[in-house]
Parts: sequence; structure tokens; C-alpha cells
Amino acid sequence: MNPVRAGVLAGLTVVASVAAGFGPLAVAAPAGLLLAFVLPGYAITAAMFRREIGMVERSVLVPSLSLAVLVLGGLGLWAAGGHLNRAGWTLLCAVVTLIAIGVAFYRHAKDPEETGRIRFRISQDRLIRDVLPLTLAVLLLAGAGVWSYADSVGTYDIRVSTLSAEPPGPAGADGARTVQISATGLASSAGPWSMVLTGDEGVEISRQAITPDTGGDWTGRLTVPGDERVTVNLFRGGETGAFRTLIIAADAQ
Amino acid sequence: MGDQPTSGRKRTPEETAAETVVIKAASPDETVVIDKAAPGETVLDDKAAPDPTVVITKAGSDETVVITKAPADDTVIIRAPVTKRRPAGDDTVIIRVPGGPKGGSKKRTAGDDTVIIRLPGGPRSGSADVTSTQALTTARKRAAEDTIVIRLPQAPAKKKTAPVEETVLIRLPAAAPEPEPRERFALGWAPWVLALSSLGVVLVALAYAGGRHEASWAMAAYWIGQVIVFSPVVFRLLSRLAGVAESFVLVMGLATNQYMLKWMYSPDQFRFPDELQHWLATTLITESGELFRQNNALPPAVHFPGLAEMGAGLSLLTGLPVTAAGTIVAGVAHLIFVGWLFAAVLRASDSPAMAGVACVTYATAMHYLFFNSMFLYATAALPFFMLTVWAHRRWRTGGANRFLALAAVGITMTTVSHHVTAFALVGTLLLLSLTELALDRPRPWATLTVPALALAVVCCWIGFVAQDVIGYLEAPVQRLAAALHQMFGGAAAAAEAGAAKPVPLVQLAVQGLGILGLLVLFLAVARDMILRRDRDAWRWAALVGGAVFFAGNGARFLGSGGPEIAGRLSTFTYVPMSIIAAIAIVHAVPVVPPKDSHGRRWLSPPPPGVAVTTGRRLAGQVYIGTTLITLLMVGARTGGWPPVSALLPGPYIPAAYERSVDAYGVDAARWQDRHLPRESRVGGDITAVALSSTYGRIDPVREVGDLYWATSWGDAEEETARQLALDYLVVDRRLGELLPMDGAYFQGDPMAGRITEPLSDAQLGKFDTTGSISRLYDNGNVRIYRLGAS
Repeated sequence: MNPVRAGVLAGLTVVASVAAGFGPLAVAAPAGLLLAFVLPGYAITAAMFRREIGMVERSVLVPSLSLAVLVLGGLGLWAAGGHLNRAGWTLLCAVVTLIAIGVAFYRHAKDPEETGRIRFRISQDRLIRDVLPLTLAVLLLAGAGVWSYADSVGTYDIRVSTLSAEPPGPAGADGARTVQISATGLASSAGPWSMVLTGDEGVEISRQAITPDTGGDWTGRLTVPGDERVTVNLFRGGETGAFRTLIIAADAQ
Repeated sequence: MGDQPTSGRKRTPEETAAETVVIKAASPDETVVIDKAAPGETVLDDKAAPDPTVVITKAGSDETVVITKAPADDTVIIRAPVTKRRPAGDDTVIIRVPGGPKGGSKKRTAGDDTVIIRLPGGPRSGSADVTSTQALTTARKRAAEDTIVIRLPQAPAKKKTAPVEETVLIRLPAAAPEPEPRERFALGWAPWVLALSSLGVVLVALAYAGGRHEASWAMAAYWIGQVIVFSPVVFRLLSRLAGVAESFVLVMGLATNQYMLKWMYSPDQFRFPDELQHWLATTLITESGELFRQNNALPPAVHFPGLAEMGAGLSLLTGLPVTAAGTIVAGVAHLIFVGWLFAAVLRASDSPAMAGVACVTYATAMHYLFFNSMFLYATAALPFFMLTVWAHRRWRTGGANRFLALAAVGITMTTVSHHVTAFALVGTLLLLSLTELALDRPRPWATLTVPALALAVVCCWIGFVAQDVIGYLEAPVQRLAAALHQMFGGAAAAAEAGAAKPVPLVQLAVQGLGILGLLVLFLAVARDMILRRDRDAWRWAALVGGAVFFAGNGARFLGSGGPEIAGRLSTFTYVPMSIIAAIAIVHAVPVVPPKDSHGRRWLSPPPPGVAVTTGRRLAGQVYIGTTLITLLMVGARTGGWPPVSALLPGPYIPAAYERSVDAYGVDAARWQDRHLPRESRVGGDITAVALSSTYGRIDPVREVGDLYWATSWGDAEEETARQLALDYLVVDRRLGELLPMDGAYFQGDPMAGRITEPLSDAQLGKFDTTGSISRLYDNGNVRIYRLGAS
């Protein structure tokens, strides 16, 4: 690796490391992708090979070795007592990349053999023949992907209305238990909401109106008799059937 | 690997004398010897003359090539254009063969369409003695890899038809000059082909959307889209006109497009249970910064952290959520795997067509589209599996020890990523080495270094780190043994017998046709190699691997788990099978060989060298090959994953894996994560357990079918729950409305394969009437019950 390329690569590694370590998502994402899939593998490949491998092999070896750095380096870091957090991964990738750049640079300095670098020249003809259809392909894929994502989210990401209770504890000295009840996903427009507690024989124990917050959630603590099996029914609007139901078994003690 | 070498078999002097053709090029050093396979197969010969010798002479500076066949009236002069001089070093020879009577040559009869050109190998003596029998014998032995057979298209049947000019390009491999960089990286038609293929992706995206909204046209759009994604790439690669760059771009573009098909099925979240298990393993690393944390969803995966490290590393480096990072990691790993497959076959065959066809054939593997590109630990291991094979190849063919180091990296990465892939890698390396040992003299014992290293690494990892994988793999091995026992006359287990689900006839027919096609190609290559007395160790290894592929397909019939075992096995065995298929297709190995002069058909020695097909024969092969590979793809889609009934995403179906994961199930699982202790043991149907153990992070209990099928909760159920140490049960009321997709609601379902009606109200409602059971969660569809009095 000649000095210019080594310098550029080292600089890029440092910048990517800083961006991945401290940058916002828009900056950290591309920097992290470079550190995870490109830079370590590129540097190691340059350190190991000059002309022994072809372009196909080189293009596959770069991400392979980058992933190997993540995995084997991660194992080594963990075995050495390190922590696999953002700083740990960033340092790992950066240090490996810089060391490999150093080795590649040293090999070049020791034996400055021409590596036969190929210069590309993009002609207008090639722009039309290659870039245009490839751009079309990428746009089609991107469009299909974005639309598919939106459709999936729109189809499956529906609001779920739930009624739940924390696992109740034992009854207190007065024979009653306090149960924390939560309701989520309650649309105010579908209200009013009410909660009715009934005992073993279907006798109503209590009734109260529920007013969900702006997010549609409600939480409250209810006191129920410890020696009865209590049913908690949530009613919506004027419906006669319970919208959601909980059952609290009697305290075994 | 790709070049079919000539047999070293010595021919009789009679055979040799009758089949000699000489080409004299510009200088004596460029003398080329042409062997004619048998009388009657030369372009210029239809008389079966006693001396069918042909001489082709390139007459110095005027670029003229003369083909002379004795007797003298069989001479044809082929004049190359003098205005366009070939650049120095360009040794491509263009021979225009006139067709029909006007061409000066004699009419060609059926089967009279082959020219065999033996290119000079070894020392280019160029002496006049090269025409002697002795020199030919020597030349044949030295230049075994440099023989090319050209099959020319048939002449028109009627003489009055206008003569057809056919062009044959012969590229001399040894002295091929380095092409100009722009030519080397020319993408040819790849960009346009990929643009067309991307249209197929759009169509499948439409089909998926239609499936989500239950549109009737969705399935038709799906299949049309699949064919558009796949077949144009196959067609272009089979045309054998694509160079390395174009083939590579086509193959990688196809892999990208096909990964898009997988991703778009469920683009917003992982839904397949195994992906969710690895999502949890990855999340645990990002949260704790530690490896080997307990993962109740898939305990053995804890000790194979390769994929989780990749996902966690990317997630932390980029700040992306684990789901997004996992999707990217799986996609990149999938592309790398395809890239290594291409690189390995390209290096072994020196043929981009071969590499491309092998890759697209592999793309028809049963689990290629989904399992092998999901966020699963096998997906992380597969690229390093292929990297190791490639590095082993490079090292064994004279590469430096750096390739051995790369093989060591590949072995280690495979081992720490996935157990079964690691075992398959040891087996593959052992096969490659053993074939090399069996065929090469002196025996290259050094070849055992890599498999020995792989065996040592795998044994050490399992022995010191991942001991629990032995118990994990014990169950499927026992099931396999039981199925084998059953196959050979033993009694079937009751549950197993009931679980067998008949496969639709159409599906069987498509898959059967595809496998039959592969078998035909396999047998053709096997016959060809045997009769040639092929000594190429890697080709033999591929042939043995192909045989294992067919043996593995027999596993389909081993009980209810048979198709899954066969599919998983094919992930590895389909690699050599794809290479064998590529050899057969690219080299046009005859499926039904012509009879030789002794009237033998199947035992007739194949013509020496590599067959290069042109003209209409090539076009026919391209169409047939594209049809066959497309048929294989259709068979893989119908027999692979997802199952036919869930090829499209859509509304909830019980126990249907991706189709069962919806907002209700996920919300219930997330509630468990927030409110239940981690050590809580929760049972449920297949989907509920998958979600509870991943999003819910609790300890799953899978074999709970008996508790659901009971119509009341009595002492027996209480005892079962106590033995399983169950704390909670998840009940989806939709189990009472719909039948399960795969014949079972639960893992180890006692009613598997015999379910004719959904669970009844009594079966699902008994939990509400049992005094000791509490219902602590209700979202309208999913309910969570706590067992035992509060």
C-alpha cells in the first residue's frame, strides 16, 4: 500500500471511528457500516495480498475479513475482560484496521512492487450502457422495498387494546388484596369505558368509570376480597358484553 | 475443474492415424494439432475416407488459414480479414465455416458437426514431426487440458436453403493476454438484465401486498415475479457470452434481488421463530456487553455467537436497531456466501460461465431463498464454509501459506458460528483431501492438513465451550434413527405415524421432475468422467458430493421431519451438485451419447477435450437449460420455505410461523417481558412459545398440547402442569376458529396430523372456569393464565 493510500485509509478509519462512536444516527450509520464491512477487511487484504487474488476474490474477501474481525476480535476482547459495547467494537475495528494498514505500508516500503492498479474511466457510452440500467434497478428495488415496508407496517401494526393485572400478592390482614390493573389502547372516542368487578356468585363488587389518558392508557389499583374469585370486566360504550376480562383466583392461603 | 481433460488412454495406432488433423499457424511454434474424434464427425468430411486427415495452415502475414483434407479435393480456405490485424498477443482465431454446398466444402450430414482442435501444450516444438503418431501421442498427453471440441450447428436439411455462415471463436487459454481494463470490467448486458430482474422484485412486492389484503391475483403475480427475477439471469449466464465481471454482477445481482424477496415478506420485523431467537441472542449482547449469556429461546446458540456478534457489533457501531442490523448482516452474509461460491468455482474451472451457472443452480436449493438468508447462525457460518473451501483450493494449487491462514480463519469462524455447518465443513474438507490422496501420485499427504485442523478446532470448541450441543443434536439424530428403523420394517411411533401429511401431487411432480433432471445431468457427467478416466480430484469430490445429495433426498421420506432434514442437508450437498450440473450444462456433456464405430453407445469413449457449442445447438441448450433451472427454482419454492400455503404473507393462521406473528401475539409477549419474572415457565402453542421466549424472555415450555386438548381441567392436567413446572399458559382464542397450517398446534402435539376441527369452546374455555387459574392478560385474542392459586 503506497503512502498516499495508507494515509487516506488511516484518516478515513479515524474519522469513521469518531463518527461511529460519537455521531448521530445519520453519521454513525454509514461510518459503522464502513467499520463493520469494509475498512478492516480492506486493510487486512492489502496487508496479505498484492496480486495473488483477483478482483472477484478481493471483493468478497474484504467483507469476509471485516466480519471475522468483529467475531474473532469480539471473542478475544471478551476473553481479555473487555466490554463489548460501542466503544469496544469501535476501538477493536479501528485498531485492527490501523495495524493492518501499517503492515501493508511496511510491505510496500520494503518491496515497492507495482501492484498493477487499474484506473477506471467512465465514458458517456458506459454511463448509458451500465449506470442507467443499474440506477433503474436500484430505484425499482428501493421503491419496492419502501412500499413493502410501509404496507407491512400498515397491515400489522394495529392498535391492541389490552386489560391486564400484575400477579397479585397474598391477602393482607383484612383479608383483601390490592391488584394493579392496567388497560392500554383504549380509544377515547369508543368510550365511555367502565370497569365492573364481580365475585364468585356473579355479585357485583364494584363499578367505576375509566378515563384513559391521551395515549389511551389507564392504570389503577383495585382492592379485591382475598377469599373470592374475582372477575374484572372492562366495558366499552354501551355494550352489554365485556370488552376485556380478567379473572383473579382466590388467595390459596 | 471445469475443463474436461482428455483421457490418458493410449489409442491404437489405427485410431490415431485416422484422426489426425494439423493446423499450421504463422510460425512453426504455433502449430496446432487437431484430433478428429471419429470418422464422419469432421466438418469437411462426409465420405468416411480412409485417410480423413485435415491440415489447416495459417499462411504467414496474409492471415489466411488453410484447412486441407486429404484427398486433395477436400481443401477449404478460410481467409481472415486482412484489413483488421489482430493486436500482438491476441491469439483468438476466428474460423468461418461455410455451410451448404456453396461454401466450397461438402455438405454436412447429421452428426457431422464436430471439429476437435487440440491446442499445443507443453513445449511448443513446432517441428514437422508433430504430425507423426509418436509426436501426437506425446502432445496429447502433455496438452490434455488444452483440447477443445467445437460442435457446429447442423447444416440445413435442404440444399436449396441459403448457406449459413457460422462463426466459431477459439480462445487459446494459455497465452491469453491481459485484456484492457475497460474490457475486463465490461458488464455487458448485466445491468439491463438486472433491471429486468428488478421488475420481478416489484411484481413480487405487489404479490405480497395482495397477499396481506387477500387479493385473488396475488399468487399469479408471485409466480410471474419469481420467474422474471430468476430466469433472465439464468438465460444470460447460460448463453456463455458473459465474461467474469458480467457473470459476477449477474450472480450477485440475482442474490440481492432474491434477498429482497425474502426481506419483503416480513420487512418490518423478524417473524420466523428462529430469527427471533437470534434477535434475542443479539439483543442480550447489546444490552450486557457480554458473550455467552443465557438464552432460553435457543440454549445451544449461546455457544455459537458468530451471528450475534456480527449483529450486535453492527447495531452498536451504527446505532441501528437490532432488527435492522440483523437484516443487513444476514443479507451481507448471504451475498458473501454466493460470492465465495462464484469465486471458488471460477478459480477451479477458470470459466465464468461455469461459475455463474453453478451459482444460479445453487439458487434453486430448497432452503436458499429463506433459511439460508435468514438471520440464523447458519447464515453467518455459510460464507466462511465456502471461504475455507476456496482457500483450501488456492493453497493446494500452489498458493502461499497465506491461503492456509485464511483457511484457518474460515474454519474458526465457521466453528464459532454454527455447529452443523462446522461438521459439514470437516466432512467437505475430508472429502476433498481424500479424493486428492486417492488420485494424485505421489500421494500429497499435506492435503490432510486443513481437514485435520478443522477437526481439531471443531472438537476443541465443542469439547471445551459448547458441550451442550451434543445433547441438542441428540434428539434429531434419534428421530432420524427411528425413521430409518421405521423405513426398514420397524413399527412407527403413533404420533409420528399420524403426523405424516400428504404432499400435493403437483408439488411432488414439479420437484420430482427437477430432481430427475439433475439426476440425468449427474449420470451424464459421471459416465463422461469414468470413460475419460478423469483424474481431477476436485471433480471427483464434486461427483461424490452430488451422490450424497441424491442420498440426502431420500431423507424426505423419513417421517414428518424428513423434508426438513433433506432440505437442511441440501444446503451443503447442493453445492457439489450445482457444480456437476454446471459442468454438464456448460460443457454440453451428452446425455445420450452417439454410437461409436463399434456400435457402442453408453460405453463409447467421449470425444477428447471440452465441447464448445455454438449456433442453434447452443440456443437449444440455453432454452432447455433455462427451463430446467427455472423448474428447479419452482420446485424449491414449492418444497422449501415458506410452505405453499404461506407463500404469501397474510392474515393470522395458527401455528404457521411467520403467518402467526401479529400485533396481538407480540403485545402479549412484551407484556410478559415487562411483568413476569425471567424464570417464569410459560407454555403455549407453537407461536405463543416462540414469542414468549424471545420478546417475552421467559422460560418456554413447549410440549403442553395435552393441557389444551383436555375438555376439562382435572387432576391429570394439574399433575402434568406440576411435572412441567408450568407457571403460565398463553391461550389464543383463534385456535378455536382456524385449523393449524401444518397439522399441529403445538410442538409434540398429541393430535398432530389428525386434527379435523379447531379446538372447541370447552377446551379453550376450561381455564376460565377452573378456580385455581387466573386470567391476568386479555387483548381480545390472546389471553395469559396463571396456574395455581394466587
